[in-house]
Amino acid sequence: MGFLSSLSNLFGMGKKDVNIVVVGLDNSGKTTILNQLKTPETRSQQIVPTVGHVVTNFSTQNLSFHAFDMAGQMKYRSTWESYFHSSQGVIFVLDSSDRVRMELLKDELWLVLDHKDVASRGIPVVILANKMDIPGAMTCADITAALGLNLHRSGTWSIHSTCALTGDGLDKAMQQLSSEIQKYLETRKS
Amino acid sequence: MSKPDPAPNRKWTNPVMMTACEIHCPSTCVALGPVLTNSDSKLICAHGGNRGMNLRLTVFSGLSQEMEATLADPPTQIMHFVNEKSTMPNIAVAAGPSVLVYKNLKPFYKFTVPTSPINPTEEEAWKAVALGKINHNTLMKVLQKVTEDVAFSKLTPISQTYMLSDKEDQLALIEKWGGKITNCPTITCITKILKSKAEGLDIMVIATEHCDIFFLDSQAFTTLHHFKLPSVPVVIRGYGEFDVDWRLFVQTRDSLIYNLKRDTTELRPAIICQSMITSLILLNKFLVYTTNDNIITFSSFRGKKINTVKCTEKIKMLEPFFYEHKQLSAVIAVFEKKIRMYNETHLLDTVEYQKPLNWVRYGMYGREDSTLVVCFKDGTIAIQIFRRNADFRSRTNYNEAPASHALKLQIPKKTKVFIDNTEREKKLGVKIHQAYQKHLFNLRFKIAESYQTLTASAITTVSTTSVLPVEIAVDINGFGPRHRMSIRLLSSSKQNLYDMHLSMISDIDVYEFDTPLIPISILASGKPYTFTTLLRCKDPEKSATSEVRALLVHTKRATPIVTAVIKMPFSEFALE
Repeated sequence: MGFLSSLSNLFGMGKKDVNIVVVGLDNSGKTTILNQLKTPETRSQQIVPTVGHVVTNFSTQNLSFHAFDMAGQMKYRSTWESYFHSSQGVIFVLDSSDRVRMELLKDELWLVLDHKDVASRGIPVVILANKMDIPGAMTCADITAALGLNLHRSGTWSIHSTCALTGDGLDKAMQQLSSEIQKYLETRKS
Repeated sequence: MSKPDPAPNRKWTNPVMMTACEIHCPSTCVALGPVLTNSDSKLICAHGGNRGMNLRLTVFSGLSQEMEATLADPPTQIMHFVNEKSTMPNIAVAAGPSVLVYKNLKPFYKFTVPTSPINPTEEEAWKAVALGKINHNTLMKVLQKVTEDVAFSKLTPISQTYMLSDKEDQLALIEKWGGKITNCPTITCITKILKSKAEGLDIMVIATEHCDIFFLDSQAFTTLHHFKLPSVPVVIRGYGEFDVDWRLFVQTRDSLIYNLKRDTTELRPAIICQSMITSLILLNKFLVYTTNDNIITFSSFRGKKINTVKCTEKIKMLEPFFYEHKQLSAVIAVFEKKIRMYNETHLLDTVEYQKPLNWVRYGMYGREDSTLVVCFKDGTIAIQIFRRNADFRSRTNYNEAPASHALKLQIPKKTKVFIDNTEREKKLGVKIHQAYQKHLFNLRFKIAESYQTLTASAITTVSTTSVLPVEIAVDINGFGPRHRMSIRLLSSSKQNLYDMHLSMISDIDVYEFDTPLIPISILASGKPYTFTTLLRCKDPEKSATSEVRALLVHTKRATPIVTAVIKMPFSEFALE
């Protein structure tokens, strides 16, 4: 088995399929981030506000992702939670320059972190502090403090600052997500 | 898991503060809406400034000021409206007799309300003063004369200002208005009515000091409809669509509320309020108004009272709340340091603040509809957003009373006995009182008397003096003729007691004590002491018993400190 799987890894075949949910407030850059993760030839030029959800596929070295790009507008936010139970990871995208909605963001993030399908299953949550290129954007440390993330003991979360337009910080965040998901899959197997 | 939020059923997110904005304007001079096409909703404030200085129209976006424009006249009210779908939205600023329309904070159009005829004497006097025929004092006298015939409020606004200002300002007014006096009434309030849902354009409604209400086409500024009321309108609220069906609710300065429709010809107030109305809003199909006696009234459009809320504090203003996503609606009542949300049956929520409030405005701010903008007296702003998972399921009554208040009193029925008794009490009231007083006195006397004997004889097991509280308990063991008597003493006084004796008293013919007097050198407080003596029944065959008393006596006290009275058992015969 070990030989076969390493062989299939070698040929880039039989990558493990994983589902992830991408959530966050409207205008935070969820679709742009996923667009950036796609191969250059499949990228779309124009990003419009998502309605409902869109499934995007992309892959890293050892995992093949099916990302559920959820709409972030207020009326769609209640649909997020119904996708958690079938996924192995959550990406929470936030706009680091949006100080007005920081408290709302905190509310929404805690709803995700405390959701029974996230907290009890222990699936990894990667928080992307997007739009770090905007002058006056808050740093990761500021956001961690503002969102009260230090108080969140259980569950696995990590925060990365990114810029979806240039793709800065995305690779590191995705590596972390892949390794977390693999760790999660290991624990579930045993 | 630790929650960051102490009250999970809060309705609003924590406030995000905007401290450097210095907003000092009344609630009428605030509007929420986009300034440019397809942009985020902004907070627009018109500052009345101070004595004609610092008149500004400011636009806030996010947590900072974005744009600013200067105003020429002190604003009465501002309003955000749309008159063309394709171009930018407008801001209407009502100031004096005109409405100034701003597009992208640039002056775009000025509409002045039609003038009314001027009192001829007044007009002549102003013309004369402009030509220098009469001086300012004469003008004053003429105007005073005019007010004897017509009401002060019927004069032109300039004459009114003239009569109330001092000499310097009077001269300035003559300089400015002299020959060209007009009778343009001041605008008291403005509002908008949707033209039709399909077009999405607004119709502007303007009310003036001369009791006129104009419906204006917001593109051509032509009058579409006109009402003349008997009193001055101060608040107007529109409902419905102008092309389909509409209502206009007008609150006048004398606390009447009119309900106007397209075909209204006969003006009759829908609501006549005894106390002064301070605020009026529309909420779904209700009119909600507050009066200066701290009552919020919910009433139907026709004026039928649905419910009233009695508040303990002054209500500063009302603001309608509607959450489309869950179809929740409520009225936000603003108090000195808190806001409360009511619907027509229940109190839904209370939010307390640290600082005194100025006004609140609910609507779309930034990208988030259902945002509450709270302005404090010190000019700072707090922004709160209605939480997605909040609901109004937990609700309380308007003025929550303790449960005991809800219990029904059992009021007895009026029986014949009850009526007879009442009659008797009415007739013989004095006698009954005297008899009662006599019995009361007797009772008190009896109590005093028995207490006196009790203290004198000291026959209780508990000490009668409060200074020396000692408890005594006696046990008799044995069947007889020899008994053993153990006496337990417990002092609870603060100090230790010294120099006492325990004395046994009985009928000397019946019992004989081994030690009839036990000296007690010390009684430490809180410590139990047990003393024992033997006694013998002298003649068991007589089968006589008598009481035995154990007295605790002090050498310097006339009465015993404590006494125990023991009823002795019948003695058995001696064994031999």
